[in-house]
Amino acid sequence: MTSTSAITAVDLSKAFSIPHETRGTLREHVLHPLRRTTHERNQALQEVSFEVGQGEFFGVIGPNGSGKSTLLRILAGIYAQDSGTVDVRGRLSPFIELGVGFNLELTARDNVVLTGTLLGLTRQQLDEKFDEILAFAELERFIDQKLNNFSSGMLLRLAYSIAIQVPFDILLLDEVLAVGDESFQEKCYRTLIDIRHAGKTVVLVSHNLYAVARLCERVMLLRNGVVEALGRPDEVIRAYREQEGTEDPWPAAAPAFEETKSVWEHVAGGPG
Amino acid sequence: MSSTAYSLAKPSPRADRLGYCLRVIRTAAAMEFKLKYAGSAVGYVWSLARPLAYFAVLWVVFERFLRIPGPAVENYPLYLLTGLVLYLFFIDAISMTMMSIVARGALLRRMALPPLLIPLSVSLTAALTFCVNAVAVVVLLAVHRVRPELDWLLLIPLVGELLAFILGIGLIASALYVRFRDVAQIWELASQLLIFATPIMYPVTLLPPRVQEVVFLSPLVQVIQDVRLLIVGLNAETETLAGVLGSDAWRLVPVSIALATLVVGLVYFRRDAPRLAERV
Repeated sequence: MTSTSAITAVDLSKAFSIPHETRGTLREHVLHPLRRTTHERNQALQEVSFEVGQGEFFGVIGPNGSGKSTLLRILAGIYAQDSGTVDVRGRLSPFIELGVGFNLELTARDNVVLTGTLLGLTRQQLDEKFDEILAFAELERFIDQKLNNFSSGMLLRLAYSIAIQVPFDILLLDEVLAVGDESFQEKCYRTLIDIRHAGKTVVLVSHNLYAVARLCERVMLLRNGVVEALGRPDEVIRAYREQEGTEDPWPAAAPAFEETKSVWEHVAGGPG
Repeated sequence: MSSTAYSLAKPSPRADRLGYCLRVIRTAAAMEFKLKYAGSAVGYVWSLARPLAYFAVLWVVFERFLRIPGPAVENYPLYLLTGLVLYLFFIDAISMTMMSIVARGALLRRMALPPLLIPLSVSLTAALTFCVNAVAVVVLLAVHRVRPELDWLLLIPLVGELLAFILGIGLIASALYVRFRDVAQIWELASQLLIFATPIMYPVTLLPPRVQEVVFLSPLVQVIQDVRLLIVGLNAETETLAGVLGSDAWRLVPVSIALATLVVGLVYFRRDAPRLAERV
């Protein structure tokens, strides 16, 4: 897979040092110069290595605090790793969550312009795609309303519609399938499947194991910053559920999962 | 050892990247400006309120009650307003830039955005506010029937010098503020003292000669006096840097200080930039 990998991460480590006694102000430094601030080193990631193939749909799961978001932020270039290397081949999406850059005091129109610009669209592209963005979000009627008045579902729809206009080869997503009503989630799934068909690479961090099973070709399980399992979604998810002592709450959803599985079968390459 | 390599499938040339940065700075600054007065009935007029209120109070106190400017200042209202508008630009722009990174921590943690764009766009918003305030000076100039002259073009490099000084301090303060919240208190105190330490409401000749020589090394003072020399008219012998320090060459000192501050600010900010997202 080496020749066609989109992301190669080797021995990624990242620690955050969290001061026990917060010395946020100079006064505390001056008044207590001898009191050493004790730091707790929180090893968020420890020698994490993996590869994501080009055009692969890659899932990352794990309990809260296992390092999933830190990993995604390092891949995106938001955090700097302490050691290890990341090699990214292709255009990365610049955001890892939807709705980045939204300002609730501004109108939907201004937010499309602001967020679109932040995500790399030119003024001309924005003008061309403006109607398309609003139509996909089904928010044409609310264009001149402030986002303050939007429901969380409406916000998500707008965020998603802008995000899919951004050109990228590799999409990094942190817990994006948690909100929105069912029909919109369905729309999201379909768009993600389209993105996959277009040969783009997706790294999805999620607690929604059903979505991960449904969408991903390979899944990595992180725990305490260490890769604990990496492989087929059903196997990794089963291992994770066994460790956590939880069971699939919706066993009836399994047929749908099998159904979408078949979607992947006719995609060239298939699960690696 | 660590490295992150991004090889782009479709190599994005430098010009693309610069274009992106400029678009973000411009759009974010415009939205910020819009936001500042969103929901207020008279909008931008509010940004004029502060310099005009200061102006009214100081004018009454100094010219009417204390008669301090005396014969030393020919056109005191214009002298005062010019100083105030430049001083407020300096203070407000640095305050806004200082807070900018902390205020947008959520954005920095969710997007691979060059952090430098944030203070740059915020200081552009401050510059827009300055332009609105400058309208007050223009109105006062018109009232006094001052005719524009060709050498007013020198105002552009002078404001540019002040902006460089502002950006330099603002960049250092914005990165420092992430770690030490005291920076805001220090700056607030400094800005209060600065209005008295700078010849804004009184003529510079009121200061002892030794002090004058020191004060003129500040880019803020030099710019304020040079702007006044151009549009208000000063006694060049006693009230400008060249007059006080004896030679025009001395102007290189405050100009160099302003540019050096900008360079130090950029270097310091760039050094901190990779860790800003996790620190805010």
